[in-house]
Amino acid sequence: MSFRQLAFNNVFRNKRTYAAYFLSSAFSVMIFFVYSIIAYHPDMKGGLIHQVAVTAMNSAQWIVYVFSFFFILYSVSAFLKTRQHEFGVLIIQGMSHRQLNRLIFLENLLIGFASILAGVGAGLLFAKLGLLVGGNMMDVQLPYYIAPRAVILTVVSFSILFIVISLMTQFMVNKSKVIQLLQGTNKPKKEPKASIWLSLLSALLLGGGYTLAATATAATIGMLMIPVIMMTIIGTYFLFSQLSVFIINLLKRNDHFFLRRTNIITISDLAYRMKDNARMFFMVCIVSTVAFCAVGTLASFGVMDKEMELNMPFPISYSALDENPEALKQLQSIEAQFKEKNISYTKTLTPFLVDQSKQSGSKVRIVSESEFNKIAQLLKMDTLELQGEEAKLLPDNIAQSQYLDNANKTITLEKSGVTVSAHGRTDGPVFTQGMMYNGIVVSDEMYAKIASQADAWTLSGFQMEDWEDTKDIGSDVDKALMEAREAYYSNRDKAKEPQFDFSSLAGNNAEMKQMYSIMLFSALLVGAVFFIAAGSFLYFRLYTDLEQDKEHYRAIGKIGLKDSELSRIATSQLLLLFFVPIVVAIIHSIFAFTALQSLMNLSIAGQTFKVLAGFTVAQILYFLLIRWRYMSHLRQAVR
Amino acid sequence: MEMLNVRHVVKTYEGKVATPVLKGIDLTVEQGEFIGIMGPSGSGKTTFLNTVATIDNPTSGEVFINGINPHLLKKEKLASFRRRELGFVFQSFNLLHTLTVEENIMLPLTLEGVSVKKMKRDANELAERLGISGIMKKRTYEISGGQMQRVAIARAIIHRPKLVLADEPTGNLDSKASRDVMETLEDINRNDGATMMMVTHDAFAASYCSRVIFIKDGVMYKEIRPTSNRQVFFQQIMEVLAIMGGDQSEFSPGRV
Repeated sequence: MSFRQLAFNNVFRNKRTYAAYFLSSAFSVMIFFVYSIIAYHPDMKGGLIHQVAVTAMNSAQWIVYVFSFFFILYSVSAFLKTRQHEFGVLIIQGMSHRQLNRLIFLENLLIGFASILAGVGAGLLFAKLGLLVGGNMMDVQLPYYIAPRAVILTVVSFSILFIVISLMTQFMVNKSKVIQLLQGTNKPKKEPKASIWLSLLSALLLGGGYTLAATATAATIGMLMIPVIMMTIIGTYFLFSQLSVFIINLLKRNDHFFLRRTNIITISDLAYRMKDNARMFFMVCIVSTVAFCAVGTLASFGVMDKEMELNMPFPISYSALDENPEALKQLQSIEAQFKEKNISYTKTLTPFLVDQSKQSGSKVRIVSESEFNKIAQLLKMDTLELQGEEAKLLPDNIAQSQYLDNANKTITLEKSGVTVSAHGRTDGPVFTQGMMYNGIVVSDEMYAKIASQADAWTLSGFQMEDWEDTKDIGSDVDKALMEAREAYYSNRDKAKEPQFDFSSLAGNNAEMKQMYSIMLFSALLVGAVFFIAAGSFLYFRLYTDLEQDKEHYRAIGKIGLKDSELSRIATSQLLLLFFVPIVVAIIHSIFAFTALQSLMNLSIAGQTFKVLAGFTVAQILYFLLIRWRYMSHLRQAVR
Repeated sequence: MEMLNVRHVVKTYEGKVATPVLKGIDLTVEQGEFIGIMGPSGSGKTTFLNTVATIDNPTSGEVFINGINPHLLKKEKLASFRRRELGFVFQSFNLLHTLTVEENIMLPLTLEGVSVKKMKRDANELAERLGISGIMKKRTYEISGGQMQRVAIARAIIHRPKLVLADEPTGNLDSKASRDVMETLEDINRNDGATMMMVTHDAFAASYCSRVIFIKDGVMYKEIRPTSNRQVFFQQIMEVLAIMGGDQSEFSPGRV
């Protein structure tokens, strides 16, 4: 047996211990790889959607990478801690510190490269699926193709990661105290002491964090986010390390409860491992919370398409400068397309003016009171009555409405020289989002004054039974608009400014749906990586304790323990292990979603419920799987 | 030739209250001796062995093994000192579960970087002698306690150390396995000339020694040598234990 074989044997004959860690590392590598395959796919060049997708994949990829670094670092140090006794024996056999460092380094490198190989291998198999799903979401066919850059990026990034962590392992074992190493992890760990003050602090921090999250408004959420996250993290740590010990001690003191049947075993076992469990509960809870929030947040964007519908009362809108020679042609083209598809529609014409504000220098769109009221009546909103210089601000969309509530603005118009003063806003947005941006409503008398100088435009709003049928209507106008905008933005030539505008709910909706599904796709996979890592922590906890547990239950079994009792004790311990951190994570997430809700104008409860329910079901399945394996190991030992 | 020289070793465990465990022990061991160390629980005998074994550092005093004080060696030197000069046998065997019997035996040679061919040859010779040839390819959980201890002994002597240290080698074994193990140790001591030091509770195991030292409350209490045969020596040991006191039930009843 050479030195290298020694390292090799240590890893390969310990498969069961390393299984979850290995699978979870390999899974991270695979997800990273699949993201790179999509991001580097040659058909992913050009187009807004593709750019968004590549950006989403890239960020998701690096989030996975950074997370993997910490996950692997933690796992490796936890593994090393359980092997102290073994290292003590090796040192006593005359292994030098340098040799021990090399041994650990080799072992980690071995697992690392095995994970890279497995991850890339699995990635090659699943790339087809990834490209299919990813392509579907972007509405493109992505043929099976693995860019060599994707392979190189994955292998190089993770090789660096594993080498760096393997190098760091040499600082993880205190080799100078052989006697401590030999005593290893066998000695019972002290129960952490529960301090009333820290328990109170935990309750205070969590309560404070929750209150702040629940009362956050759109204006305060940005400022509150970091402090609330910090409070929750610290509070969670003390919750598990202090409050839980406090509760266990309370239970122990209650003889009626503690000395009842199998409770004595369940509770004392729990206390015995509380220190390890507290740390693990904390890790699993935080990691799960991050996974829930990431997926939940993106899932919440799903409600945005409903909001979009409300923001676009006219599913197809077209506006143009009255002098624009193309205008009539384009309008006719749109109406011809309606007829072609046999869609009946109503057309509402609204004349408006475009001028510039002296104060801000930006464009202002002006609608007369009577024209506004016509549309407001149509959409069942409050009408206006304006006098003289009085004006009202016209919100572009629902989200903007609340910012304009108390706005006071004096606007002097460049071309006409007219000054109006706007107090507050109209009842709501009445025109399609984007078509009447920076809009104001003025009295008819004022409108007439401005009209003599400003540019006159007309907005044609189309309404129909079912907007979803109109997906391709006006796509030629939309394309012309894109080109005109591109020409304008390339050198900002005033003369080239587009003199028409177009907006289609169905078109925008399709585009947003795509973006949304791309984001969700990235978030789901990142969430999966986090969730599986949390599962790996649990698995690790169970399997490092398995030998001790077997011994423990064998001893209890000799006193006389029914199979059903064994099963009850083990199940209640597993239940705690699996669901305490998840339940806390769910509570954290619910408050995070409450805060998120303040940014949204529609309820996200349905979406977040689906996400949390999904994760809970996954956890239950994992629990059942592990319980089945664990119980069969224990039964074998006790028999 | 003087193999081990212990000069006034003191060990105090620091804590809220400093606990003296060894209060100054002196001992000289000649090459080829087989020393037994006995004493009641808490007398400091395992601590004494650990300080000689370089597992623990003495608070004061000196330990010389073959003229070298291992506690003064630098890390790397200490490792090769342990690898070349010392062999260990523990109560709980301390075999590595990821390795086979053969690999466990070869471990010290692996660390030394000996050629694989020589490693295998030495291991097989030794296994033959200790009667464990048949289990060389097995993993540690597949063999009995007596076999495990013989594997541990093989691992302790494969590199021909100057001093073999054993901590309760028969503590986890039944009487048949204990006898096998002690006969193996005696054989190695006689035929290879290896110097041995063994901590034990077991008067039967101690009766194989060429000298037994008694420690009580951290100081040397008495030492005795066999005068005629083993049965007589066993009785002598039992008498000293009885006079020394401590909890009688700690010592195993006679098995001879």
